[in-house]
Amino acid sequence: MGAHHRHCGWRAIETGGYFVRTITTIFLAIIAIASGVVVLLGYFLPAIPFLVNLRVAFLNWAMILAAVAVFVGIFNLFSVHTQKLRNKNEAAYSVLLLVFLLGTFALGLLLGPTSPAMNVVFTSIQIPVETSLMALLAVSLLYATIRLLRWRANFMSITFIITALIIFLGTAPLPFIGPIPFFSDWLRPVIAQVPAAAGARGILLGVALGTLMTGLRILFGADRPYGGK
Amino acid sequence: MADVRCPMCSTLNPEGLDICQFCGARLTPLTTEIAAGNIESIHPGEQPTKKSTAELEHALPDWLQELRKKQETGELQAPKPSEVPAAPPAIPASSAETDEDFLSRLAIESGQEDTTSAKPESTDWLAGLSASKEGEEDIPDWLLGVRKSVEEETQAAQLSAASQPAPDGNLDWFKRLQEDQKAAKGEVSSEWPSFYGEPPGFGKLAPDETPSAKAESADWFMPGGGEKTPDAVEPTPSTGVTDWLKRLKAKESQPAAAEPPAPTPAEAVPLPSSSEEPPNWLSFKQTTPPATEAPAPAAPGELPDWLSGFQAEQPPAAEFPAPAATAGPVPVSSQALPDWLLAAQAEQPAASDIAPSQPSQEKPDWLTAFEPDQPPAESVPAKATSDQGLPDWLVAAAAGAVAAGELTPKEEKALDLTGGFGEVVASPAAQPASQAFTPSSETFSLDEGVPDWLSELPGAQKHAGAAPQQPVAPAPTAAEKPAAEKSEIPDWLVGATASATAAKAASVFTEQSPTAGEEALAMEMPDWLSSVKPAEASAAALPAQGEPGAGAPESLTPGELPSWVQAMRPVEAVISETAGDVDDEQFIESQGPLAGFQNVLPFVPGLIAIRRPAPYSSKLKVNTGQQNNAALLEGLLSIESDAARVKPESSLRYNRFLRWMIAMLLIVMVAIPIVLGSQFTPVNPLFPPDLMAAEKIITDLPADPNVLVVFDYEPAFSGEMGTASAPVLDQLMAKGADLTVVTSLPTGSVQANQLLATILRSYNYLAGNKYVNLGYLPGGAAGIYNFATNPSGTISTDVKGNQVWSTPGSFLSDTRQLSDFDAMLILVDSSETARVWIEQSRLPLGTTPLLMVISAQAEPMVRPYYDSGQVQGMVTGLAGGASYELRTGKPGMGRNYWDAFAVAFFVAEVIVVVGGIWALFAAWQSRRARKEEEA
Repeated sequence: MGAHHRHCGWRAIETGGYFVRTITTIFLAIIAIASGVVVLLGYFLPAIPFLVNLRVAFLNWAMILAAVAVFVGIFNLFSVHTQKLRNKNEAAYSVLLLVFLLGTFALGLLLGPTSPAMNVVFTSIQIPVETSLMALLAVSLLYATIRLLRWRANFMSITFIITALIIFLGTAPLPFIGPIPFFSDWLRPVIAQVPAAAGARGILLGVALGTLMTGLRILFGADRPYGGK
Repeated sequence: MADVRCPMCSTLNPEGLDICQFCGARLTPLTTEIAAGNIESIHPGEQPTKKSTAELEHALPDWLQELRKKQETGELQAPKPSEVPAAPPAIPASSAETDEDFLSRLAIESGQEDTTSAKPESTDWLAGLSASKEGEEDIPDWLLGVRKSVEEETQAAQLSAASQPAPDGNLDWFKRLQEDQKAAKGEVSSEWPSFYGEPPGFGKLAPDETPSAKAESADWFMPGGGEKTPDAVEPTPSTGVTDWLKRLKAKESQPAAAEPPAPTPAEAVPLPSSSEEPPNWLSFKQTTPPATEAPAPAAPGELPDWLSGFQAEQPPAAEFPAPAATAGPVPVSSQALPDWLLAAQAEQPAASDIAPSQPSQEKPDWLTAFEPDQPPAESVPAKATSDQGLPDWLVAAAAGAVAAGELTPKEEKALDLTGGFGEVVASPAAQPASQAFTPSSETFSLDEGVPDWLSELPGAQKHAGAAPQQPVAPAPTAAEKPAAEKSEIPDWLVGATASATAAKAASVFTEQSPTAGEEALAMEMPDWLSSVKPAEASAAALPAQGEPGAGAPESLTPGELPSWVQAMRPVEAVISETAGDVDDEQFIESQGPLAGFQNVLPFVPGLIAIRRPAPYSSKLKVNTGQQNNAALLEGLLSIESDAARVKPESSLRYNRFLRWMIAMLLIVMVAIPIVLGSQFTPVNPLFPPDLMAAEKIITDLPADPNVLVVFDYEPAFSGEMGTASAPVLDQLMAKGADLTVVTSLPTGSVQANQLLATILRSYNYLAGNKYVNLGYLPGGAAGIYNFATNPSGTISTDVKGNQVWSTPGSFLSDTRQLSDFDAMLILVDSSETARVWIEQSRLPLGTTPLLMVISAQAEPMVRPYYDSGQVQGMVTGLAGGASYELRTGKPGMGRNYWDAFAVAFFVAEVIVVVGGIWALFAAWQSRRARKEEEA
């Protein structure tokens, strides 16, 4: 008897959970679609103060939520590396990360982000580290350029290498010589402004259309990144 | 030890067994000896060879054996004299006088068997058989029985001849037969061997023949009828020599004038001229012993071999019986008659015309069968119905002959069962004995029912009185007849009485042309009979002439097949294709009339499936190729179950040395100019238009402009961006611009402070009031848009928390919108960030110029905005900064890094070129080595 009641209770809970999830999904969809429609109308109907104010309010909520999201991200990073402390092999890097995270956070909370201490930390640690990574990237790209023809000596590889070489010659001057006349004043600008710009514009148009379609799908409820499928 | 394979079940049996252990079939054929003689199959057109058939007696067809049994048991009785048809009138009287019909004598002997004391030794046509009595086991029993009957007939003929005057020398037995028939009401004694098939003359029998004619026409096979004529048969001495041949010989010695006998009163029909000479084939009976009384005066070439042999067997002339006394049926001949002929004879209505000299018990069955139906010749009307007992073919053939007009009414009457032997009817010797015969009967042509071999016989041609084209030859003398007859008798028939009788019957129809009836008869007639040619027969008989005893006995060699049996063997042309198989099989007939014969029927695999199926082994029989294929398939299946070994892809071998070398080279080459502070590389004096536009805008800004600066580049790009943006900021600071710093990156505000504190520290903006750091702007594009549309509302305080928008005296106190700024400068390293800032702030900026200092990597993506006018000025990378410094005339970081920058790029270019060439050469070598390995 009791088992029967328990079974019925679980079924009621499961049924209620499904109902709640369904209602939640619908509710979230309504919120997302309504927010988008309001912001969109605020753009197209700036004469309506309510819509403009409502749009601005929504955008402020979005900025706050984005900042909170950054904080949530930092908290997630902290928790992940805290879990990695259990693994002795990876604990050192996690400990280092957690130490500097908490120290910087503490300095920022205590001294402010514009304090000289924070500038030293930034200038002495973060900038050299990131800059060094960019330097390594330069070496790696150069090495990859050489190996490219070694392993894949085809037309596209050769074209890539030649194009890169032309840009090098047109961008940077030769030592003791200066800019190469033909490459720097004509060939490089042509390559950068015609084929490169064309490709870039195509990419930009594609991105714009993709963004528009994504917005429309969210407005129509086809995509529900906030929940559901 | 060689085993014997059973021809029936194909199983192997031990040698020596006669019967198969498994199926009980006979292993060794009954005709082993014959088969051992390698008797070959007869070829089409080939003449049968003479063989002795003594041992094949048991191999004879059943009907023959049955017939012989009947003969032995007395079932076959000679036809009654009343049933014997009258002798054919075509037989000449002369021949009737001289020639004694052996049939008539046989009939007499059979009829007076008990009364005759003297038994003729060799007077009959079967004398040859008696000569070889010591080898009687070589002679078939049926032939012995026939001979016995003939002897009996001979005795009877001698008795009848004693009461009658001796005929003339040219006496024909048919003539005497007719006379006998006329006297004794005719008794049919036909001896037509059943194995001969149907008599050829039957095809001409008319269904509406008169009974008398029928009785008369059947005289040829009832020799007693001819011999019953008293005036036609010469009395023979009582020595018992009743052979008509001997009498013929005796006639030959007599004068020719005495030969024509006086016609008896019964001979109402005059004898035609053609009847004067008996048919040659019948003349063989007139042969006399050449060594004693009458040596054959005829040409040796005309004497057939069989007759020569027969002649050799003939006893001396002293023993020649009187043919006149031969009256009555010939039981011997009747015994040899087939049943169908007996049945037809039973319906013969001319029983009254034939003298019942012999009891009907001695007649053959077929004669006795229709004897009761034969009314007397005088009492029965001409159109007696004898058709009922005749075969259809016989009736049809006779009707055809009548319709053709070849037959006279009497001849039509004679076309009875025996009327088929029309020549006999037309025989002048028999004509006097029968009133039913008319001279017109000589024209009775039965050519249609006579086969070719009969028509070719010279004796038959001589009797072609009905045929106008055939000249009527004079009656042969007694010396000529044997010679002529010899040439007509086949070899194998030498000594065979039944065969001789058949030969006589055949010669009767020599003038007949082949008809449909002949074709029907030809189907049942043995080949040997149809293949007998007079010339051949005579040629074969020549050597035998003068050699007494060299006739029939020598041809009946024990263990040899007779020619007619040979003819029954399969023709080689038919089984030529399967001859090899047939010979190997040794197939022996076990049932039917061919029981005991070997390879009689071709044992063709398709005809009789007696071959036992070959035993098949349960083990699969495969050859080498199939085994290889099976092994291959098995290997393939086993390979499928195994995991395929994935060829490890050659990992990219990192040449760490090269990498280090590249890094060290770059570091050294970059460090040297920086350390040395050299400026040996000139900056490009050609300024890009975007740079010039940016410089011009900044230059055109009013004094103390309110400029919004966005620091959105990462610390990694701080070197490039700092160098590029420093101359621009320197120019702005030089103009006293109020800088409001905002960033969308967490590190942006720090980057701004760090730049102002290091490069631009000379302007001391950090401690003054001309700088406001709004700090981090979260929210991405939304935050940027919000800030662009409502800067004060989005970020109301700076990083220190001060209210910069509403604080009096602040340069931002009058600024509410983005367009309130004099210029907006975006320092960005990423194209994405640049795009967002441009897209979200361009509209809020209004006419406020938007300048950008971008990284070199973002140039391709940002340049479209510059080209579209959304961005009014742009400084790109280190080169742009150096150029901007050159443009503003204030060398700075850009120029300091310019030499290092040039050297680094030069090294990179050299590495790319050299490394590329080396890589191509290495790739070519590797590919060549791979091809060589594959080759």
